[in-house]
Amino acid sequence: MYYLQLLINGLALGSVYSMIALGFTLIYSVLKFSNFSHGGIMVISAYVAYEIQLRLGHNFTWMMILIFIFGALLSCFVQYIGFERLRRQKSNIMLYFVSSATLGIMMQNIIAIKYSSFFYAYPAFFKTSFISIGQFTISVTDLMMLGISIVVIIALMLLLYKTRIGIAIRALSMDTQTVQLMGVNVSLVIAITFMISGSLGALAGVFCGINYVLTPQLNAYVFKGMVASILGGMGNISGALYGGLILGVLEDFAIHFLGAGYTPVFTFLFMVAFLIVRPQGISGKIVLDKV
Amino acid sequence: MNILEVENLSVNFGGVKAVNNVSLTVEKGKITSIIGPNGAGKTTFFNLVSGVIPPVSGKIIFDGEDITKLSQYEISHKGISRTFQNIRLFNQLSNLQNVQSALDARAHYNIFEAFLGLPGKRKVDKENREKSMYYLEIVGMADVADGRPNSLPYGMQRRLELARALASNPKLLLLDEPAAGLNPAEVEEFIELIEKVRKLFDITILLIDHRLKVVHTLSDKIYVLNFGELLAQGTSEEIRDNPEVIRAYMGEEDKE
Amino acid sequence: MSYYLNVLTTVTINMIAILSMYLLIGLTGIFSMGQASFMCVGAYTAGMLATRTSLPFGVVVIISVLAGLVSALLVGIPVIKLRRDYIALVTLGFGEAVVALLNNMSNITGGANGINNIPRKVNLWIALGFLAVVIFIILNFKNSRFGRYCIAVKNDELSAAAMGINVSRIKLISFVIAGGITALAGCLMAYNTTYIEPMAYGSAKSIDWICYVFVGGVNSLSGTLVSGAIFNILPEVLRVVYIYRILVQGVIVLLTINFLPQGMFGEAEIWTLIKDLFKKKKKNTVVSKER
Repeated sequence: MYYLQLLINGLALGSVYSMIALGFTLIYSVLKFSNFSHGGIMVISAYVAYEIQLRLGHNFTWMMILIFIFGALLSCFVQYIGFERLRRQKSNIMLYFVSSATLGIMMQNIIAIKYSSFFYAYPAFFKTSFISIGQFTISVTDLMMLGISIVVIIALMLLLYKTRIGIAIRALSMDTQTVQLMGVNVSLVIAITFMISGSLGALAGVFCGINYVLTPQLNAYVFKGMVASILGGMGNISGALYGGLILGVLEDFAIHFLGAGYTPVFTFLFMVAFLIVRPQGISGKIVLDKV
Repeated sequence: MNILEVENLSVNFGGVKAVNNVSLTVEKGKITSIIGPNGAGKTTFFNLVSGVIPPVSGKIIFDGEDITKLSQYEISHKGISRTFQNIRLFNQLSNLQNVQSALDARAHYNIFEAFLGLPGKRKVDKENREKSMYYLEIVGMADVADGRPNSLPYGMQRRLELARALASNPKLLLLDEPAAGLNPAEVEEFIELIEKVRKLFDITILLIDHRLKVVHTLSDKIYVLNFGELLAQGTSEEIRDNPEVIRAYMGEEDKE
Repeated sequence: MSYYLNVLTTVTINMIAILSMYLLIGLTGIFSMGQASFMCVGAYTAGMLATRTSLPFGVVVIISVLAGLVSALLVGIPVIKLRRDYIALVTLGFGEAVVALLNNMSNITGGANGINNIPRKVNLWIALGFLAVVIFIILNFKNSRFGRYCIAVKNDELSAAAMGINVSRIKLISFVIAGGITALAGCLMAYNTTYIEPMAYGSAKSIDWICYVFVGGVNSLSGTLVSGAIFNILPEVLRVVYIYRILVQGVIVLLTINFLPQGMFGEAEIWTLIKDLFKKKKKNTVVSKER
């Protein structure tokens, strides 16, 4: 049952993709644009986390906690310089796009300027590398990522469905004008949404850094989250979750059968085929503009 | 002769029957109106006829042809043109070019002639510019031809939409709340403009408004829509005295 | 001296690609994040034909442009009816797929090492010649009904369709033409720098191009040219800021989007602005004479 092993690895991979997708799709659901700066938050957080754990004796837990907070703050800052003014001016949606893409490259470039000369890597955080359960092995880092992802996702779902701020976020994703008329401080809700997205992105960035390589090109992993969002239906939170897991499993199988080199080709063709057959995603609905 | 025949048209938006089994006919050369309180489904009806959304059931027959399944631009080329309740002008084209867009869609030079800027293409564009000026003159806006739509006052934007819709030389003109947001004097002017346009082009007009007052001078026939269903139809006198129509607009009378 | 000549030639060739971005995103509002991959298509078609066959330069150019047109058609057909964000993501995926393909098919494409020893057939004058032709074509396109379709569709798809414009078709036409022009740029680049490699054509380049269009001015072809020229030539001249090129560019883009959203020239072309300037001067002199 080698395929079951692939499935397990795929799910672990997928949990990271889900995390990226959630951060990405949260912004899309509230502001209706694709936040191309999400990758920048991921890569900056990955390197900042590296610096943190270097100074805290390679402490995994503290690194995670602090980077979670850092991601929120960085994202809040990015939202302020990138989108706040556009929102007040009710700018065309295209400008949000350009702003986010520009910020994304700038963040990636900052890291590239500072860190590209040497090779950096996270240390081995855990004493044992692999755990065997019967015939199957799973790396401890994978297990950690899976575990943390599950906790974070459950916390996010609780936040969105059981708290007032969560209701405000979901309401905002449906109708901005009415929410404003209800007396909700839209700027605050948006800032908080970005902070949540930033925390998710930071965690995802660290996971990518641990599991793959710590390079300035780490921001490219945001693309996986974007594809996952498409699979799940753009703007749909639970869709992002399923989309990520499905993408992780698909990619793992693709890597096994086609090799890591050709996997982007597979991902592209799959994405196109999927969009032809089911453009609204697994769980999404197509929203029509009011005429 | 009926230029438009709609049979049992329906569409649902997630469980809400926005338009429910509506049938109506529009007689050629006349002005027909659809009225009803807000949310009655009037604009949705227009969206069905002009091809913006597909109906769940029913048929739309225009000039003898079934156009139910056609797309928006195909319907436009069949001869139906429309204006929108929320003004939808092209803000990065000049006022003249806005009107010209309808003519552009019917121009005949191909892309290679465009790339090379051939004289044939330039002649067609020049003619279309002159035609567009003509339509602007009809609505009284020839002097602002080179301005932009978003610098126009609201009333003039409405007139520009009308000019643009006319430029496609339609057989049927759909006007969605063309006098919305206008003050009473402007509404009078607009009514006169519509009369003038109808005579000048011998065109059939189907118009929406939620005010019976606006519509009763113009219309040869009125349909009343409420909650997506056809409530009543007739001349403006018949509609004005129809108790169900009054109830739909005013609500139940208080019993004292 | 020859260094600056090289810079100018490279900039001129890049301008051709940037103009295709003007057509795509400036006029039509299609966000193609993988447009640079069409440059890759053109470059590799040219590179492979130039090093393996004895086809003359002119024929290779035509074939490269055709390759660009056809690949844009193949990518565009399934994708063009999707929402703006989806097109951005799918074109991004296409870009990644192309790079992955080129990196892995090393026996045909030379893999990560690329193709070398392409004969040098393009110098500054030939590049300028091609640029002039492309400017001529695109300017005529803009001033034709097709250009007006693009702007109308960008402003309001719904009423564009209501006026009889076939929205999907003009978007596809735009996309295909842009693909062909970008491929032309790639072909010229191959014959100019005499070597090509996959890494040079990532999403970062596409984002750069998007930035030049937006800073230059909405719908302004000359704006795109001028801003593209400034952003490409200035860093070469002021070598000291070269490392910070992307950051400086990013700051300028953000400032433009937030404080001058119409861009440098707004919607006008530079020659109309100059004409207006002369008209104003004339009016002033007339007035002063009357006094």
